[in-house]
Amino acid sequence: MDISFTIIELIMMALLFVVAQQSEKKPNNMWRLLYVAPAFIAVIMVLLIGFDVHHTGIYVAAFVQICALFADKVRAKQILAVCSVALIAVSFALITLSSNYHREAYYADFEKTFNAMKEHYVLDKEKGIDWNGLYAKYDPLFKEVDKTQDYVKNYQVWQQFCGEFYDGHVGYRMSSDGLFRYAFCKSYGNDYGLSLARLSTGEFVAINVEGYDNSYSVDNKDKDDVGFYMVKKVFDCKDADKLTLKNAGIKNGTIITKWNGKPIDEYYDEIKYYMEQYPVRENEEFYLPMYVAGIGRDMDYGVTYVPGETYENVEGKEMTDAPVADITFIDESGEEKTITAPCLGSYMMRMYDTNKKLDDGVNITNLKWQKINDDTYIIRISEMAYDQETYSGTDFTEMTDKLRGEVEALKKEGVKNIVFDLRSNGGGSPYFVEGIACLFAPKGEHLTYYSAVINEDTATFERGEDGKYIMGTPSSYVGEDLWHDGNIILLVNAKTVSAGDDMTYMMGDFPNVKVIGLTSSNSSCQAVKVLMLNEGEISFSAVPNLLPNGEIAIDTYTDHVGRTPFDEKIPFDENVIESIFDKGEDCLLNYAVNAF
Amino acid sequence: MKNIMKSIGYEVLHSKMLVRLYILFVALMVLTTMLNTDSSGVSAMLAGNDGTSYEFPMLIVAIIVGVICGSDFNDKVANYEILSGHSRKTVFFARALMAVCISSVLATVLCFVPIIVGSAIFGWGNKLVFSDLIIRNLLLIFPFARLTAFLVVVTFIVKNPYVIMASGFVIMLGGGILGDLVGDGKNCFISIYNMKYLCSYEGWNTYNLDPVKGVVEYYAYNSTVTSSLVLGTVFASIIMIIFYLFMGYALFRRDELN
Repeated sequence: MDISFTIIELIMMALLFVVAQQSEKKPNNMWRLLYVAPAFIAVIMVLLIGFDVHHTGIYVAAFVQICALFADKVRAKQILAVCSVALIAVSFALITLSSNYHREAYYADFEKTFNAMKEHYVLDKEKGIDWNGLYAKYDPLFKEVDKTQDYVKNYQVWQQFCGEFYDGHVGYRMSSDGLFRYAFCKSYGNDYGLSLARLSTGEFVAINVEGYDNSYSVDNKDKDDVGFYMVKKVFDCKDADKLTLKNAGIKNGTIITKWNGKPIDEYYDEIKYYMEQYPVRENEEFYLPMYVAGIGRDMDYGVTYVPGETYENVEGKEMTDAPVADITFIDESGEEKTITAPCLGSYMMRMYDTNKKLDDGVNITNLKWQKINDDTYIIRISEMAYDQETYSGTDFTEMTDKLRGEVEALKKEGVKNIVFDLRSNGGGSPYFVEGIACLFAPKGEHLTYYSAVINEDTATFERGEDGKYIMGTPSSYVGEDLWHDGNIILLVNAKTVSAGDDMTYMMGDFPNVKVIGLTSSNSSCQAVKVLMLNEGEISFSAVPNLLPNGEIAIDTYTDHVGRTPFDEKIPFDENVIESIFDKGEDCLLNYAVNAF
Repeated sequence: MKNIMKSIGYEVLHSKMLVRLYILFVALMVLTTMLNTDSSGVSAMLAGNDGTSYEFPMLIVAIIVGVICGSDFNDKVANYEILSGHSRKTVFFARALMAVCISSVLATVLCFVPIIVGSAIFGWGNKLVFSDLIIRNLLLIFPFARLTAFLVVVTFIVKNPYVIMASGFVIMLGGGILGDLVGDGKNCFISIYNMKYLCSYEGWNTYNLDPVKGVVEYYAYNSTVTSSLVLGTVFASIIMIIFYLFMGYALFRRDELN
C-alpha cells in the first residue's frame, strides 16, 4: 500500500509540473486546488498506514506543493515539482533499503504478554511459575528476534515460552496465516520419510512411512485444511529418492534403535518446543519421539533445510547441501542395519498427518449418533457448543431435551452401550457439558465447580491469605440417571481439552462410565482469555474454576500428573500401528467398542 | 482585523440559531448521559462509551464554522470587506482565528456536560480517576481547534455554510468507519482519532462464569494521562492548525470571489 501511495504522489507531481503551464494559460481556481491534493493524499496515507519517519520525503514533498501555491512564476512551480519528485525518490529509496522500515513489534508483544500474564495468569502458583526467571530467560531471546525481525524464530521462541506453562490453554498464534504456515513448516526439521513413536513395550518404531498405501506421501497433492499445500513446494527436495526407506525394508512398525547413531530418547532434552501443549508428562512422552524424526544428522532441533538456502549445522558452520538422517533399524532377519535417508521436504506435513491419524475422532457432525452394532452407538462430540445463541449462556435445555429424546429412543431399541467420542475435543461451554452430564448422572444434585470471587475494581481474581482463590458461586445440575442399565465409554486423548476435560472430569466418575484412550485427556480447564497483540494473539488461563475444597480444578500441578479420570490406557502396539497406518482403520474406536 | 473579529463575535453572540442549537446539543448530551449511565456511575459509562464526550461537540464545531466563515460568502460580507479596503489576509485570518477560538472553547465546554450531569445524578463511580478525566477533557480543546482549522479551509473552498454543517456528520460517520477499517483509530495525527485517543482508556477486561447469568464481563481502566499523550496532542494540533490555516490562506489569497 505504501508503494502505491508513493507512486500516486509521483504521478501527482508530474501532473503538477504540467499544470504549472496550463494554469497560467487558462487561469482557474480548480487548478490551484490540485496543489492541495498531494497533502490530502499524504493525510490519507497517515490514516491508513500510520505515521512513519521513512515517509518524511513524501510528507515534505506534499508540503512543498502547498508552497507552490504562492509561487507566481511557472518556472518556480516546475522547479518545486521537480524538488518534490526528488524528495519522494529519497523516501522510496529509504523504504526499499532500510532494514528498520516497517519493523514488526515482536518485543513489544512479549512485553505486553508478560505483563498481562504476570498480573492475570491464574495458575502461576500451581504451575510453579518463576516470573523473574522467565523474564530473564525470554527477554534477551525476544530482543534478538526483534533485532533480526525473524518471524520463524519469533514463532519458535513463542512456542518455547508457552511450553513453560505446560497448560493447554496457553498458546500463541501469528496474525498472518501465510507467515504462520511457513514458520510452522520451518520449525520442526526435515522429512526423512517417517515419523517415530514409542510402543507401550518401550521400543521405538517407524510410523507413517513413505511409500505405503495409507501413509502420508510427499507427492500428495490434496488441499489440506491448514494450507500446507501452499508452501509445500518451497521445501521439496526434488532429486531425493523417496523410496529409500521402503527399499531398505522399513515399514510401519519396524523397530528403530538409533537416530543419527544416538538412542532416540537421548534427543528428548534437545526438544525445546512443541506444536501443542502436553501438560501431562505421560502424554508428553507419547508424542516426544515424533519430534525427534525431524532432526537431521549434525543438525540442531528445529533447523529446517530449504533448497537454495543455507542453514547452520551443530558446529555453527554454514551448509548448503540437503541434510540426511542415519536411521538404524532391525530388519526382517532380526539384524541391526543403518541406512542414510535423504531429506524429502519439511517434516511438519508428515508430523501433522501422523497426529491426525492418531488423534482425530470420527468424522461426523457434532452431537450426531452413529450405529456401530445392535448393542452399541457412538455419539461424536467434537466441541462443546450447541448453537450461537446458547454459547455464552447457561441454558442448554433445548439440547438436553433433544438428547433425552434420542437416548430414550436408543433404550427402546435395546441399545446397551454408548461411546462418547471426545477425541481432539477443543472445548467450549462448561454449561453444555452439564447439559449432557445431567442425563447420565446418578439421581440427585451434582456440584461441578465453584467460580472464584473477582475484584470488580481491578477485574482481577485475587488469592486469599491461604494462597487459594476466594470461593464464589457453585454450579450444579440434577442427575436423571437415564442410562443406569447401560454402559458408557468416554474415548479421549491428549487433545481432549478445556470443556473436553470438564466432561471427562464430570462423567468419568459415574459408576457405569469408563474413560479410555491412547493418552489421557489434556488436563487444562480454567477459562481462557485471548490477548490481542501487534503481530498475533496469545491465549491463557485467566478465570479460575475451583473444586469444593478451594483447589484449582483439573489442571496439572508441578508434578505434571493428569487430574481427570483415566481408567484404561489403550496399549500402543504393532496391531494398533498396522490398523491405523496400513489399513486406515479407526482401531481406537474398535478397541472402545470391544472394551464394554 | 480587530474590527472584523469584533463584528464576528457580535454576530455569534446574537445568532439565535446558534444559541438554540447549542442548547439543543446540551439537552442531547444530557439525554445520552441519562440513557447510558447506570448505578455504577458516570465514570463507567464514559470508560465504556468513548464517543459520548466528543461526538456531539464535533457537530457543533461544524455548525459554528459554517456560521462564522460560510455565511459571509452567502451575504457577500467577505466581498464587501475586501472592497472596503481590508486585505485578504485580514479577512481570512480574522474569520479563521475567531472560528478556531469560539468553536473549540464551546465544544470543549460541551464535553463537560456528561461529567457534570452524570456525577450529579448517578455519582462518579470508581472506574476512572476524576482529575485524569478533567485533564483529558481540557486537552480536547486542541483537536477541536485542529478540526475547526480544517473545516475553515473546506469552508473557504466550498463557500457554503450548509455544506460545512453537513460535513460535521460526514466526518463523524466517516471517521468512525475509517477507524474501524484502519485499526483501533487512536493516534495524535488526525483530530478525530486524537479525540478518541483522549477519551479511551487502556485497561483490562475479563469475565467470570456465573451459573445463572453465564459469562459476566468485568472491566478495569487506567486513565493516567501520559506525557506522550499531552505532548502529542498539543504539538500535533498546533502544527496542523498552522498547516491548515496556511493552506487555507494560500487558496483564498488569489481566489475568485463572485
